[in-house]
Amino acid sequence: MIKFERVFKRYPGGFEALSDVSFNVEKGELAFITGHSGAGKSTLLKLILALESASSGNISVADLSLKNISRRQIPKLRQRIGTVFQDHQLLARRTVADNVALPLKISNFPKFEADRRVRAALDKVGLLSKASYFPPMLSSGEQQRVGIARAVVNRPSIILADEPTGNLDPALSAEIMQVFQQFQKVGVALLIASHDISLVNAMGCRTLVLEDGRLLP
Amino acid sequence: MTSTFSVPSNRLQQHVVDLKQAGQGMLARPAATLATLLTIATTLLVPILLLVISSSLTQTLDQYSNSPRLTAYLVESSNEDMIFNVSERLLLREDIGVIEVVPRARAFTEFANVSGFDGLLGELEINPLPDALIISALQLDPTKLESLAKELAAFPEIDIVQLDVEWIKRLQGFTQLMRNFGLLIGLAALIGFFLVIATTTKLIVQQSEDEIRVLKLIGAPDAFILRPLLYSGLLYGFCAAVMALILQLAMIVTLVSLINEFLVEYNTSMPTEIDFNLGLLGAVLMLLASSSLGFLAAGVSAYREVLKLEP
Repeated sequence: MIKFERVFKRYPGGFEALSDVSFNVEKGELAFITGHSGAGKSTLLKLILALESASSGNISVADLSLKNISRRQIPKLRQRIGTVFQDHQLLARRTVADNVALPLKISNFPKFEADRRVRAALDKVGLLSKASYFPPMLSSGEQQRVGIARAVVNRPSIILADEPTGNLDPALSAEIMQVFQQFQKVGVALLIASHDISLVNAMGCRTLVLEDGRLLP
Repeated sequence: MTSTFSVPSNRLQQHVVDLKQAGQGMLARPAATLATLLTIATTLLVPILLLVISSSLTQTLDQYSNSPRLTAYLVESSNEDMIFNVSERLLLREDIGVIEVVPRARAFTEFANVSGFDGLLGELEINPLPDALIISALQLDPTKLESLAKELAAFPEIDIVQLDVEWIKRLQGFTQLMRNFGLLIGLAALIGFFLVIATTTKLIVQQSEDEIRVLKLIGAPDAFILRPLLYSGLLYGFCAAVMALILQLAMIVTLVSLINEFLVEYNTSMPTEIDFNLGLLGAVLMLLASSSLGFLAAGVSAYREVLKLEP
């Protein structure tokens, strides 16, 4: 589902954020990506979302090559990826339910089905009772859970998560990881960037370690 | 609770939701929205007023000048035979249509009634008014009309010929000037209208930059982001046109009596109650044009701004 082949990413000025990175994440696989701050984790996620383009090498996501991806294709690509952002990226002026419903609204889902999915997603992250709240009324951990609900509501084929449990307590982190595992079981490919080594070890999944832009063997 | 789950089931519903969202966005900033609408409405008002007044006047004047009339006052010694003879000769001409004979006795009675001096005039032993012929000319060309008037004046039975088209020509020239001026102002107003809506849209985009970036991040295509902005432009155009129409009606009510008084001063035979309004079709066309232009202005501005924003 996600395939990197000898990918380099150089920024103007010569800084190389990623050097010769190659890996695959298959359908139904949950993989972690770890590394110290500045190792290139965020750059890698940005490349997958076509927020940036690789300097060289090939990236394909959900059978779509990102090498010559057109501007029109980018939204379609992002609609197939559920993304959990470290800084939540919620719309402050919309309710929790409306935030979660956004991917469905973009995909033009029928109302009944959308309502059902929004409720189910909020129920999974334990926030159904706060559906009518606005994000600033929630704690950082709750906002993170809204972001997770939004990422999974569209039942994407790929889920990317950047420090999804960074603001959550251990019990809730475990619950969220269980949600991710449920998606893994139904064939979703998950790539999770995390600093939380204990969580990564506890999950026993494949781990990609980045160091100064290089993937360690 | 259910009201918070508002996801549309089809594309039409999506457009309705976007239109509603655009309206709610305008209502959320009532002062700014009112200021923008008033700016656009007043921009539209001046050319509308000029065009409405000039069109109504031109229409009325055209109707009037399509049957130009000359009044021939006969010599003092005229009598029934003379009136009959001269009328018969005049009717043989191809440039004259109908002749209405106004005998001096009738003219005296009408003058007495209209002037209110009937008591005083009744004491006069003689009628000082001449017999008159009101001649409807088939000729519309002012130069040929003047030439006809000269030919009529040469008849020995006719003392004076009065041709009342000069003031119509002047008024027609004035209304034409007013119309041209209205069109020029209208053109400037359209540019102003376009710029106001484009700037307003640009400000809305700038205020929603974070939201637009998030939407793009989760896969919203440009059309999804642009739709509420386009509807916002459409609503601005529509509401401003409604306001301009209301203001125009209010101004016309104030101006109409002044204009009609002005017409009375010139000629009593001309319709002195002119209907100054845009008409239903005119109003509908204006609403459509204004809404479309608002949509277009918002589209041009929003497309440029939204394209620039990347997550």
